[in-house]
Amino acid sequence: MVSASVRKSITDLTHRPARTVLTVATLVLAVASISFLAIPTLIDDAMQQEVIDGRLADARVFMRPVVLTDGDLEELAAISNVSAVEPRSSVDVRVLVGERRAPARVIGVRDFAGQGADVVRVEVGAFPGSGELLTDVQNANVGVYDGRAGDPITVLGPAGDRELAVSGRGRSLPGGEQVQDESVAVFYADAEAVADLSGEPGYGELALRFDDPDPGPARLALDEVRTRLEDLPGFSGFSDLPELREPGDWPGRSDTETFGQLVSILTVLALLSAIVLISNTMSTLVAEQTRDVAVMRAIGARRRQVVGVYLRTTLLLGAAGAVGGTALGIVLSSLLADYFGMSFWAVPVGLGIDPAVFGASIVAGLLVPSVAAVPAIRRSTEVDLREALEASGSALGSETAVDRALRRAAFLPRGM
Amino acid sequence: MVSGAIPSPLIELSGVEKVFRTGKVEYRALRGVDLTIAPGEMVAVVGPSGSGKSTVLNMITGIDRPTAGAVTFDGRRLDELSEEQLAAWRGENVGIIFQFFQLLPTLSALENAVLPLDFLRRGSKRERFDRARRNLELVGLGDKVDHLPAELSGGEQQRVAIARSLAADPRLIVGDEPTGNLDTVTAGEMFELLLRLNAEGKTILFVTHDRELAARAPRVIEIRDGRVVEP
Repeated sequence: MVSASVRKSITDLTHRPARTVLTVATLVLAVASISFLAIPTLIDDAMQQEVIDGRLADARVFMRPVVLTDGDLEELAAISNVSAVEPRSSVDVRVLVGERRAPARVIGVRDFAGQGADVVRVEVGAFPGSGELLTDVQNANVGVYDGRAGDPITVLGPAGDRELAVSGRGRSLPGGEQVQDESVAVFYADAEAVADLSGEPGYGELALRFDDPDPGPARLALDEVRTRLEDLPGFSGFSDLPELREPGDWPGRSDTETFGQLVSILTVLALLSAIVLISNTMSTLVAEQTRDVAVMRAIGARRRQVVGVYLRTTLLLGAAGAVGGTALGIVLSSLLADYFGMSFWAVPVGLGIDPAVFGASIVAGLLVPSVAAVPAIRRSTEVDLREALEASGSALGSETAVDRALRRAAFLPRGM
Repeated sequence: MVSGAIPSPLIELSGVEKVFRTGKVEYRALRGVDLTIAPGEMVAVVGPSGSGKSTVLNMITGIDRPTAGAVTFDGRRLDELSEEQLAAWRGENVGIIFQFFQLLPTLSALENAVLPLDFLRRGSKRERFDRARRNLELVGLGDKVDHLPAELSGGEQQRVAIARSLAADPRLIVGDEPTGNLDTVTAGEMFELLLRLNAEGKTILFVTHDRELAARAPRVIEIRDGRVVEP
């Protein structure tokens, strides 16, 4: 059995279903907007998993092409704190896309089956064999090359033109990043194919994984690797400064953080707009009940009891808004995060929840309508009882300090 | 109480004045009203429109406050109570029947009738509903407890309002034109009900334009130009 005052809190909502639905819809959108704050976290979670799955290098060393034997690589891998050494070669080429000669890069992998870092994975098709290339998924996403497994491809390399075939579609974080940043089509092939295209054997890059990726130990290991490389016969110098990845970092993370800040600003603006709208709705809702408030006061209701009736109403609205908004927010933020993840890194994000944003959505959904309604509820309990009993549902006595300030404004016409 | 002694009044208005101000316009609704009502009395307040009848009722129920003078209920100065104290006092001591019923439109007859008890938090929920149901049966609406006000006739709505006024078993029942919106037959029935309640010991005070109805009350007070002219 529900008390009459609790029933009033409920029936005030069911009595005007259209307005209730619209108010809840406003709340749902407001709460859902909070979920946008989860997008960077969802992307980060997916990317951290991608870093693990793709064994993203903790450091990279760039040098002029040098031939590395299995023994050389074993010695480098035996350096303290080094857990994996992955040599890579690459050659900048052009590929024929119709009549157009599109800029492209072919990355040479020593052994597709035994990659230790910056792993190239196949999504569709197979690893490339002799006379084949694997196209990066980002080529199609960015629109630089959309060939599929089995398609022939003409590669114009420094050592001559080659007619090759696409073995499938694959990806790696560093390769995808190059497609995004440089708008070049990235392909993967075995190291021999790259040497054939460039006319230059050897590897120009070492991707390293460390047991302890913290900057101190990582720097020591990296320096040791560079020293060993300098001692190798045929080594002719480094081509660039080494890259050391901060633990937890991944390609494009700082851009995502900047994007997250922009989203935060937009979210706050959306939320503020919603709060103003909800406040206005609540103010109208309560003002319409001026006579009901007066009747309740006339038959013995204390101020807190009247406030309780309307706070329960707003909490019911808030609960509906919180549940609906949080659910919608989870779906929206997951869809958007997935869209960004696929667009920029070809990484599916999937359905995910950021616990902090989830909690904030529930709390905001419950509290925003109540907080927004409190001034109107408070005013409604302070109106002149006699006047309110004679009122016919108008917004009697609901003039606020803002109303009074606006009335004094000279630009407003008289009689407002 | 000593036999033959004058019983102490339940309600006492002493030199009550009320001035309404709207901008620069002042209107003196009451001009020094002195009035005493004993426990168990049934009093009709009559007078022309704008004479101050409803204002007197508002003073007695604490819905409005006097500009000057004192309003006392059972020895307690109402004009000195805060709004919160007045609300609590009304809940315990006064049942109000409004001219336009003033039922809460989204609640059923039973829920309207139980509301004062909810605010008082008197008894268990079941006891409150049982009492409200008995009051609705008393006013002849035992079969319409689940009806919304909009589903009831004017007379039935006023019966619900009377049942609501009885909820807390108050000592005083006040009606502001309680039969003003009812047809003659229904008005007569309502008045019979008030007479019955008075016979059971309730103090009844009601404002009416109906001279015939007023004449059936044991005591009639006439208000004219903000003054009691026939105490």
